[in-house]
Amino acid sequence: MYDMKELEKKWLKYKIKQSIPWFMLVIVVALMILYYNNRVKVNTLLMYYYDQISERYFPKKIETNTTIVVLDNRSEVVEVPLPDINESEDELNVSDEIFDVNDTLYETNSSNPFFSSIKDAPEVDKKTPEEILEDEIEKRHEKKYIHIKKSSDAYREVEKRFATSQDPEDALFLARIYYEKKNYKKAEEWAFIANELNDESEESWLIYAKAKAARGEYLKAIHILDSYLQKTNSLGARKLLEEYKAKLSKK
Amino acid sequence: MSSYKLLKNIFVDTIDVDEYIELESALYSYNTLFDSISRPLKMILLFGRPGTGKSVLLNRIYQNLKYQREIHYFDAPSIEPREFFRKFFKLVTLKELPKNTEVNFTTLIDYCKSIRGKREITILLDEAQMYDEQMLEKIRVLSDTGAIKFVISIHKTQNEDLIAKEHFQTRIWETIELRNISKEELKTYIHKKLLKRNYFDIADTIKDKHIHLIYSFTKGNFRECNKVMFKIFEIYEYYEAQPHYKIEPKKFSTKFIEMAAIRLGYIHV
Repeated sequence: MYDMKELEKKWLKYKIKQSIPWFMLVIVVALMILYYNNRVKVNTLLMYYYDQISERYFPKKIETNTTIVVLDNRSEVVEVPLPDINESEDELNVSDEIFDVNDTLYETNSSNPFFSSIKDAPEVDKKTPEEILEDEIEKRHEKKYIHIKKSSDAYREVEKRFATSQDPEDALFLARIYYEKKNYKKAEEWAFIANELNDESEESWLIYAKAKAARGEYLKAIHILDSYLQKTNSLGARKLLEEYKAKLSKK
Repeated sequence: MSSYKLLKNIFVDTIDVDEYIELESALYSYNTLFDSISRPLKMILLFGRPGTGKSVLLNRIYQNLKYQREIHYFDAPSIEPREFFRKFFKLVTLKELPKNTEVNFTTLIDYCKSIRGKREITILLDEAQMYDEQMLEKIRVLSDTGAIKFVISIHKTQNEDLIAKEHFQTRIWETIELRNISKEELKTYIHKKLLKRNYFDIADTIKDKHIHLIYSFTKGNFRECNKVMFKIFEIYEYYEAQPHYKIEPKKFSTKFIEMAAIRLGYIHV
């Protein structure tokens, strides 16, 4: 009789060898099931750790849940909510400031030269103010190219652009955005730059003052507004000045 | 004696007619060969891979016809032509060749011609691939006399096919090919073998999955199947003798089939 112990060992080896592919298959299937069942949990966990790490090592300067619409050939840059971008232009939360010129269409004052010109227009061109406004919006949109970018990229791009353009509008935009995002120090810096480039820009004065006040520097804010009021008679500046004075007296 | 020792002996490879198992395919081959022998053919070629049952079939034909007609079975090939013709001389002339004499082939041919129509002799040549070309040529000449009918059994390999074509192409009037049996027939074969010796319980434990496994190794070859079954029961016999090993009598062991396959080299570990 041959060595049965040896034969049994060989058989055991054979069984192990034979079961390896099945074992691997079971592991793969189990992993797949585990993955699909916990995909959401894993993603959430990963996102959580990602946020934790990025917050710790790369503190957010600007929130990224918004999208910036940069309108080419204009200094105006408008922030709009991200989900609304692809839906319709009506839903774009575009600042009214873009359409400042068109606001005059609503005016009933006949002395307004723009309004008069519309009134004197030929019969065929007569349209309601709303229709004219819509046409105007359409025209504007036809000429503009909209680039949708993540906010952090857009800010960086505007900042980068500013280095060469020195456009006060860009500086003011950055001041406005930083103020909205409660990054008052940055807002203050950019408002100051905007003001340096164009000291007639009321908004730069006001953001500068508001940023100072937000950082608790009410005296400085009052001083800034006082300086501006010596130059102009801004109602907005006066209102802010009174507000800050009141807050300071309460302290 | 251990029951497993008796069981393993059932599967000892033999051409004993008593061990013959009637299967559908084997019955078909038998009937075809029987009909061919009954017809006035000079040569019949029986071919198939080793272990497909050629020898068993020839032996069975011989056993069944030996009292009905002049039929002779050459089981082991005579490598030496002298020995072959001595044997041939005896069965044709019914006389012993005197000592220290050789058969004169021309005279033998003449003798065969002289008995044509008077006697019909059938020679069953097993393992004919063992004969050399010269011998095969002489066999061909003998068959041409019309008095001798040869049933030539050869292994089916590329070379042996060539031999068959070259030497017997114009003379073989009937060819019968034996093939490996199917899985169902293998099951019948194993069960019938066991039932023939009244091992009903053991036969009952051998299920389809065991047959499938055995078939995967043997491919339905009788000889290989016998080898595997013999080895399985040999392993059973070993473990039966081990005091600490408990054999399940109601369950045929897949492990032992695989061990037998490893031992016989079907599985390479």
